[in-house]
Amino acid sequence: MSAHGRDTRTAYLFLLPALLPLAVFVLYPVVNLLWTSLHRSDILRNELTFLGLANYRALFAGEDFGRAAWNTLYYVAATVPLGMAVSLGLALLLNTEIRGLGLLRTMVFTPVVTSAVAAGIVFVWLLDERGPASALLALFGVKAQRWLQSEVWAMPAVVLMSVWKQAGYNMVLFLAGLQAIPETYYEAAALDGAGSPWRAFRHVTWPLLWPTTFFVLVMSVIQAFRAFEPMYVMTRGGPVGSTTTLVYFIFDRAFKYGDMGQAAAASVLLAVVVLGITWVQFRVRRDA
Amino acid sequence: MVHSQGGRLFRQVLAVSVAVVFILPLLLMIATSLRDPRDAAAGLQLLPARVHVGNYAEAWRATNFGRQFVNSLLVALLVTFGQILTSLLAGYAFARMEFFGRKTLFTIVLATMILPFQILVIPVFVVLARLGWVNSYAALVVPSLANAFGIFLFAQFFKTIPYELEEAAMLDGASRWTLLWKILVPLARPAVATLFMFTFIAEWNDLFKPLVFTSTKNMRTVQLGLTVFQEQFKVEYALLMAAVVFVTVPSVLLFFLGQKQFVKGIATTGLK
Repeated sequence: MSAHGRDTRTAYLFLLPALLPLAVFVLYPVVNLLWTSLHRSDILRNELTFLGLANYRALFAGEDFGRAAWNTLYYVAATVPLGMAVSLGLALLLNTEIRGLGLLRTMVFTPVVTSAVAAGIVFVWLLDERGPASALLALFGVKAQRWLQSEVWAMPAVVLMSVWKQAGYNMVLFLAGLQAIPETYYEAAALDGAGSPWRAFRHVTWPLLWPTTFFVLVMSVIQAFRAFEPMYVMTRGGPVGSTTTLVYFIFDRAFKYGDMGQAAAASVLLAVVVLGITWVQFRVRRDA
Repeated sequence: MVHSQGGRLFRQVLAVSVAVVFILPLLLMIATSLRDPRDAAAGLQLLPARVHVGNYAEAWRATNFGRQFVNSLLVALLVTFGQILTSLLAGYAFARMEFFGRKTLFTIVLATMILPFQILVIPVFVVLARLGWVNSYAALVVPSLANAFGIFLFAQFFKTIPYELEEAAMLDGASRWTLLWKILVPLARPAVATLFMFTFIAEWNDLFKPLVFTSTKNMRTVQLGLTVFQEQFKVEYALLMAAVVFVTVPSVLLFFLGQKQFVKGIATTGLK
C-alpha cells in the first residue's frame, strides 16, 4: 500500500469531525434559510405558517429595507475605494528603504488585531462633542457637534473607523504583491524612459499589481457587505436608522422584533448579492 | 528605482507621520484610561494632568469582567483547538487519501466559505434553539468547530511534503493516525501556529455570536460585556477606556508575540 492508498473508511473517519459541523451549521442553514424566508416563523412555539413570497413583498413594500439597502451601498461605496487607496498608499510608502520600517508597519497594522468593539468605543470618544476631533476642528472654525448623533455625519464616522481598522490588513496584501514584482522590470522601464516614479507606477507597478488589487477589491467588497460591529458599537444603527445596513437590519428584525421570516428573506437577498460577486470574481479570474 | 536624497527624507517624514496617525487612537485610548474620570472627554488636552491608575480597578469591579474573561478564554481556546484538530484530520484525508467522492466533498467544503456567517445567523440560531443550546458554551463553540479555511490550509500544506517519509513509516506498519501525528504535524508547526493566532484573535474579538446566541449575564464574553459596559457608563470615558484596554491586551499581545508568522500568513493566504 502506498502513502496515497485507497482507504475510504479511514478517510471518512478523518473527515467526520469537520464535515459534521459544516453540514449542520452551514449547509443545512442554507436550505433552512430559504425555507424560513417563505414562512411566518415563531421561534418560541416552533411554529411555521406558509406565506409564499409575502415576506419578500413586505420588504419591498416597507421603507426600512430600502433604506438599509441604500445605507449598505453607501457604506460599501465609501469604505472600499477609500480603504483600497489608503492601503495601497501605505504599501507604496512602506515598501521603500526608510528607517524603522518594521516598527512603522506594526503601528499601521495594530488596529487590525484590536476588536471592532474596542476600536468603536475609542472612536465614540474621539468623536464626542467635547472630544479631540471636535476640538481639533474648532481650530479651523468648524463648530463642535455630536457627530455620531447626526444623520449626516454618523455614516462617514463609521466609514472612517472601518477604513482605519482595516487598512493595515490590506496593506500587507499589497506589500506582498509589490514585493513579487521583479526589480528588473523597473530597471528595464528606466532604460525605456519610464524612470519617473509616476510613470514607473503607471506602466510597471499598476498592471503587475492588478491580480492583488483585484483580490483586495473582492475581499473588501464582501467584508463591507457583512459589516455589523462598527455600526452596532458606534451608533446602534442610528440616528433614525441612518447607519442601519442590511446585516444590522437582519439582526434587528430577527432578534429584536422576532420577525425571523422577514429577516430570513432579507438574508436571502443579501446572499444573492454575495453569490453574484463571487461568481463575477470566478469569471474574471478564469478569463484572465 | 533611483531616489534623490531629498525625496528619501520626505518619504521618511511622511511614513513616520502616517504611522503615528494610525497608532494615535490606541495611544490616546491608554492615555484616557489614566485620566481623572471627571474630565476624560479631553478636548485637545490629550495627556492626563495626573495619572489615575484607579480607573482600572474600578472598571474591573463595576461589571463581572473576571467571569467574562474566563468565558472568552474558554470559548476562544476550545474553538481554536477544535478547528486545528478538525482541519488537520480533514486536510490530511484530502491531501493523502483516495476515497469515493473526494473531489466533490472538497468542492463542497470550499463552497462553505462563500456565504458570510452573518447571512446564515438566523437558521444557525434556529438549530441552536432546537438543540436547547442557546445561552450555553456549546452555542458559542460547536458551530465554529470546523472551518473550510483551515482544512484548505492544511490540505495544501501537506501536498507540499514528499511522500517518502510516510512510505518508510508505512512499511514499518504505522497507521494513518500515527503518520499524521508523528510525521506530518511536526512539519506543519508553522501552519498550526498561524491558524492558532488567526482563530484565537478572531474568536476573542468576536461580538456577533455572543450577542445573538447568549442573553444571560453569566454567558457574556468580554466583547459583549464591553458593549453592555458602554451602555451603562456612556460618557465616563476614563472607565470605559480602562475596560477597553484590558480587553484589548490579550489579542494585541498574541499578535506582538507571533507577528512575523501572522503577517506572513496573511501575505501568503489572504486569510481573515
